[in-house]
Amino acid sequence: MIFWRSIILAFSVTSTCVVIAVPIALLITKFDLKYKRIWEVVTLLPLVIPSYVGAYLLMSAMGPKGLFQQILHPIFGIERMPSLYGFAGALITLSLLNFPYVLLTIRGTINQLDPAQEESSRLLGLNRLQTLLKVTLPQLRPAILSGGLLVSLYTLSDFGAVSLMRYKTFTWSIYNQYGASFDMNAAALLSVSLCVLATLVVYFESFIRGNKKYFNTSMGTLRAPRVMKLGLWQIPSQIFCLLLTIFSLGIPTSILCYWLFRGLTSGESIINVFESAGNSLILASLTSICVIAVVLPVSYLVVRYGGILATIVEKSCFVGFALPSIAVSLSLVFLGSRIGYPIYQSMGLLVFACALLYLPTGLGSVRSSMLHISPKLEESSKTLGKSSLSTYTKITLPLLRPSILMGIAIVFLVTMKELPAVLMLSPLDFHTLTTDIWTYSSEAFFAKAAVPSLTLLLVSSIPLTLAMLKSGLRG
Amino acid sequence: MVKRLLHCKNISKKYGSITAISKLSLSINNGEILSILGPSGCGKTTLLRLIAGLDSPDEGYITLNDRILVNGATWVPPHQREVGMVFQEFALFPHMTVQENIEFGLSKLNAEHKAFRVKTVLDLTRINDLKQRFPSELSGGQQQRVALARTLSTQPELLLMDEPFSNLDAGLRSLVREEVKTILRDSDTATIFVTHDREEAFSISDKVAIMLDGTIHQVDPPDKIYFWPNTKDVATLSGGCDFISGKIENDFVLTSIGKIPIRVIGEFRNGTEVEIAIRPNDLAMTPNPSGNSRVIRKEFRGDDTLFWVESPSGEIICCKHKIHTTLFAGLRIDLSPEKFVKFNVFPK
Repeated sequence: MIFWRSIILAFSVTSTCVVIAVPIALLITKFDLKYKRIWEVVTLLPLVIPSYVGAYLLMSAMGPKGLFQQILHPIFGIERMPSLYGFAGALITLSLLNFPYVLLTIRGTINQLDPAQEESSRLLGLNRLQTLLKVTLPQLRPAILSGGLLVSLYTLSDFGAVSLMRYKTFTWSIYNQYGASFDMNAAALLSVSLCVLATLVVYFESFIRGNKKYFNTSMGTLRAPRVMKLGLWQIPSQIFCLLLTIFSLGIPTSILCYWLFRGLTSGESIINVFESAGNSLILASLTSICVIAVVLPVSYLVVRYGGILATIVEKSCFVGFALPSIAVSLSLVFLGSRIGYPIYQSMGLLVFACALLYLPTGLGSVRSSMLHISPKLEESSKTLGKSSLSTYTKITLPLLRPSILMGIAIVFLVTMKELPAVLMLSPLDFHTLTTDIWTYSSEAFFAKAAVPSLTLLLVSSIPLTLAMLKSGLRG
Repeated sequence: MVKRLLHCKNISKKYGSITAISKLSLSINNGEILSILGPSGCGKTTLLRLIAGLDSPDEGYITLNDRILVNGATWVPPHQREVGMVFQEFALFPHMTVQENIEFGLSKLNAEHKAFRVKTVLDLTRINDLKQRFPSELSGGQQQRVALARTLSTQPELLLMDEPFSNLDAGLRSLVREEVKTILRDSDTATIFVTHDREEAFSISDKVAIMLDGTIHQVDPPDKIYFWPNTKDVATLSGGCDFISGKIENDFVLTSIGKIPIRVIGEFRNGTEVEIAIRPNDLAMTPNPSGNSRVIRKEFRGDDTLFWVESPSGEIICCKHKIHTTLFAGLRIDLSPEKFVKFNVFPK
């Protein structure tokens, strides 16, 4: 039954992501891991690989008659690899690509923890490991939960990977009802159920998180956290990071390069991706701008003023969080086709859909850093003769800059990857990198899909790396 | 000429159901340093925020140089008030150097005037060497001076300081306090500053306002606050103070330790039940095996020693004495008023 399939997949992917991300986050922030700066960036980069690209690469490599079988066949005489289609394939793909979300939220919190707490624990007689387990990890629980929440929502709303892996979940059924049989009623019913499910997940998360404050309340300057020695564990840790990088980043990119190479040598014409890349860039940039334009006033309102109105505005911004993109797109298709011109199949509607979907991502990043700016700084500025507006531009904005950059980078990246909204809402003849990839890979033209895929990876990893390096330079 | 600078009249402020300020009135003259002394939670900080315009009162009005800052109809935003404020946490802008922090409030001036102002306050607060540093590279005392310099550079008509010394360690505190007092005198800036430390309030200010439960109980010079408190609460807040009860008899009060001379005569009728405020230096202790009181605890403090003495009627009174060797816990003594000391009397 698709309901249980969706839930089981979301749960398994989330658990796997947490198991992968927690050790990495601790290694990077708490231990003297070598080549830290490299791992910091590299472990985030799997985010740039769209799930359907990951899925098609996994299929083409590990499928029954995939690359590995072809390599292994002459040596071991293996005729077929065990099938990866279905649950296993979806789980592997989604876990390897989504664990950085958990990494991001943990790292956002871990830097705010007061090192004095860990020092107190050591002085109270707990050893390093006990301190880690009893003091540090419990404080990371909210971060792990919210990262897990992100992963489970992305899994629930994932469309590309599950459909390429032929694992029948909600999103797969919705698209099929809509695309294959044009059964709007069934699609709508399924969408509503999916939204309810996603809302339940959000509710579940806030239920177990309780009323605990996410952030350290002390405003004093925190000293740099103490770094623990790995000692003999240095090598296993390096191997762990390396293996993870190979699987999540190395193998996908090398397979892409291989397909590209094979396509080129077999004389396949290289398709022109300039137009699609341009379209993707325009869409992602417009969406990022819209999101930030909404996020800045909303985060200020929510953090500085609170109250009922602010809460309503905030909650309504988080609606997109619980709404799977396929459901949002579908509803906007209904709306657009009812109204018709000038909305239906317009660029505006597409940008609106993406902005709605990724508003929470941007808001989360900026709001949490807004919480850390003491209102006293703004009040100081006002008593020094600056108006509210000039206080905001001279004090608040500069202090928010790293988180704004990070927010833009992530919204840009997820919009670059967005598939269902573009498939369903884009203007006629509007191709993006994602639709190109989708078209070719769903018909198994892997070599043709390689060029737009590589372009997509390259274009979206640049802003992420830059933002990562900028925000990594703090303190 | 003494001229009234700030005037608050009947201001009230509620946060939800909690009353922070109720019907408070307060004035300060040009060039004056006024401390607001009160326990934490009495509304001191709220009062400063109302004067600075960071919050607005529910009722009442505030004027500065006879210009209305806030009343029912008008509200001047903080940046147009010419009121400077130094925060408890200093609130230096972390992304700017010391110099940029100080220049922040001077953007309306031309380069020449700006440079002159910056140099003036840098010299005044003696932080010339620090101007290229960032706030995170400064010690607490240095941050304090930068915060003060930043506010003084705008030449506010009134300066507000919210517990400005509480983030400094004890050794530094008295030093910085003297410095700040000198700086304020040199720049002739009228200042209101808020504290819960009475020594701080007494040493720095021309006048002390005792604040309790959202309202001002007494405004007077420090010595008058100490020696002539209007109420029991003011007596307790302005210094160590114990109370013993007795009955008025002409110029004295009859108590369990004898006849005590009173300061204000004729305020109460003979026979009225009253309480007398006793400061630690007010009573003499004489060892006497059949004395009326008994020492129950002793605490050596260095310069002097504190003794807690139980009176015949069971009241515990704290007394200060320079000599500590001849008196000890358990000893019976006689308590008697020191020579020339007169006592404040409050209705029971």
